[in-house]
Amino acid sequence: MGQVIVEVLDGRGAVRHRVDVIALPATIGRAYDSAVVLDDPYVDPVHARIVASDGWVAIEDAGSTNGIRASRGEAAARVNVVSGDTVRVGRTVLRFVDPSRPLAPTLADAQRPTTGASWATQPVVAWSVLIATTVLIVVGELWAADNRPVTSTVLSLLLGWFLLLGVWAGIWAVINRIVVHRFRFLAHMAIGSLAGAIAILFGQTEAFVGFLFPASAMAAILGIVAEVTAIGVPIALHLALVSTLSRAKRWSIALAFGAAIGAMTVASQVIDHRKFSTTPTVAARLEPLPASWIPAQAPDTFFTEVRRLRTRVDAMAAERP
Amino acid sequence: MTRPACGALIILFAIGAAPAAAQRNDSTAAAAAIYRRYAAQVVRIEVVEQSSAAKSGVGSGFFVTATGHIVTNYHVIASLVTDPDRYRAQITSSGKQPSPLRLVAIDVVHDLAILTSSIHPPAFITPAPVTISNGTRLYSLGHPLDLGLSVVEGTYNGLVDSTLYPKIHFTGAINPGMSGGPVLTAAGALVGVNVSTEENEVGFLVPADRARVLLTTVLAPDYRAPTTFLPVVSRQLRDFQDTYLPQLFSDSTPSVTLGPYAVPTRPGSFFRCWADATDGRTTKFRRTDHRCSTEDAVFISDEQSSGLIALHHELLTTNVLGRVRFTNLLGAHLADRGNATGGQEEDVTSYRCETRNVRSNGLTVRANLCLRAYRKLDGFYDARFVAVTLGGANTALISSLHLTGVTFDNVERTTRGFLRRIRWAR
Repeated sequence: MGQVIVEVLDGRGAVRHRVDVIALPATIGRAYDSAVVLDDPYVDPVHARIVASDGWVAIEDAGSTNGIRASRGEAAARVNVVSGDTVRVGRTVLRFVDPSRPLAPTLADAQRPTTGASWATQPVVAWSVLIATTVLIVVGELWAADNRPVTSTVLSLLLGWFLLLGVWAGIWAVINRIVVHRFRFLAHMAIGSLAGAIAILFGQTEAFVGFLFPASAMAAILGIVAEVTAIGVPIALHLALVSTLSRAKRWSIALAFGAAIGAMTVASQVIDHRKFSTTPTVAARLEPLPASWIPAQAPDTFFTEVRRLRTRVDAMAAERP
Repeated sequence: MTRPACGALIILFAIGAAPAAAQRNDSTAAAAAIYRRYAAQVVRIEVVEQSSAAKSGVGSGFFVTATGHIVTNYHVIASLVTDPDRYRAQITSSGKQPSPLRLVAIDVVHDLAILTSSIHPPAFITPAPVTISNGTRLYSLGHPLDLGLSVVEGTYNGLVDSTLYPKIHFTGAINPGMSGGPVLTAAGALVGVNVSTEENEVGFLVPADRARVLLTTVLAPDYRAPTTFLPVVSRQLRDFQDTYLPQLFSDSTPSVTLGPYAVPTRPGSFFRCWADATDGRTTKFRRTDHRCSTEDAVFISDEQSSGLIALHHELLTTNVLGRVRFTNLLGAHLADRGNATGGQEEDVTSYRCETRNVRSNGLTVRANLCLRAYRKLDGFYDARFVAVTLGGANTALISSLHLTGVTFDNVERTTRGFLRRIRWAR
């Protein structure tokens, strides 16, 4: 172990490399026989010397073109340094450290090595989510069935679902393998099926709200929220597994993505709504509730709305097509 | 070209390149005499698109005054009414210069129009009251397609029962292009004006009396031809439907019982109703349909008609399906009522719909009304009202009412009446 460690810093202050100076005086310069060789065109072949001094060491200018500067000072012929001080040589910043100086105590790492979606990496949880979603899909399909045979419909639906889910999870797993050398296919399957579960649950809620309260815009709003959530949440979770992005960043990306898709849906709905159509659409989604559970109004209220409808179509007729 | 409302009913107005129809040329001596006598009085009317100078349609007409007034069908010259800047009409005959025509009066309800020309015919047909009996030989004149003037012999079968407006049933092969041509007795009395045909020699005529009434109006000394006819169409339609629409679903409208429900049927004599039912042996549910529809509607333009009213009740019952699946079945049948209706963007707006859960006569009903406005006819609408009963575990009713070309007051009044007449059967 020498007497002085010279740390060559980069522009951001991080250590680029360290030189262990064994004997003093030692030279600093571009010449290859220097003790500390600097690859800096603003540094002379023999630029400065490290010499022993009363305090610890000092840096002396060896008659260089560009001189030396203390970390916060003017150019000087000689700079006394203590351990940890920096000196600018040419355009390079050097830090001088006394190897015998005591180090700061080691920090205890409070941060567990979680990814933000660690639940998905536990096989039990992942399988549970997968199975729960599958059950939800089957129940949802049975709920929507009328008089057609159900078994084949459900089977083909499940086939399609697992195919889609497999491809989706596969893509993420490959990305995962490339970025952090872990495949985690099952975890990505679980996250993908979570998207399905969100979509189904929101979809059912939306249907009930639309059925019970046809007048309110609640169902439409729920539909958009469902879409943003069903797209955003899984993307944030997939990103947690495949990347080292911070939580805030992952959720911003996911939310931005979900919002973009949601905005596109709204835009296409608006365009569709404005497009000329000769179809009188009936809101045909009904729910199997007893009559007494269904809030209903007097016919007069309905016809008041119909009169508003007239105002709307009159305004449309007044615009040229 | 068909009237969308009337299935096989074909209006006798030839469009551009209509297929040639077979002709019957077994004229008797009387027919030959009619032909000789009236050939000069029956004209071929062409409707011409101004910018391309191409004919967009051909019809027939006949002189009714010495000063050149011509009677034809409204539907022959309808594009002059709906698009006066794009179309004009003229008389064409081989070897002569086309003679321009000017529209002076219309009767949109009875499908008649009067035009004037600069021609002063040597003779003309006077619409006068005539009494004839069923089975009388009649001679229909006109210009079918581009085949020249033809005489078609047929029989008078009186006024058709149960129509919205009077029309004569004529048995004879009248063909496209003969629209607006006169139908005469052997003695030359005007009986009617060719208007439409169904297959197998079933033809319809506008009674001559309607032409007489319209001509009387035109010949009145203070008569001024309107500069624009769309308001006239609106007024005539409004006046006409106000005579029958407000009474449609009153307390005297007959009811029919469908399962536990009593629903209105045959709201007027001009409706035809029919019913159908599945036995439910091959399906898991039973379905009973009851429909009524007006047989005819008033022609406004190629794309629009007024006064078509159709109602459809559908009862669904099941002993097999559970509540959830029955509700979904009901939803699927309900969605079928949202079928497209036709129409052009230049004529109508898109539909806008309103849905509410409504309590009516102790029934919880999901009421849905879609409405669209006519762009050229101010204050006229197409509407479809659909009501489905809610809460039934194994029985439900879907009832719909479709109205075309009616005023908003009539939409509301008729729909209200229709909904009020849906109730529990006692």
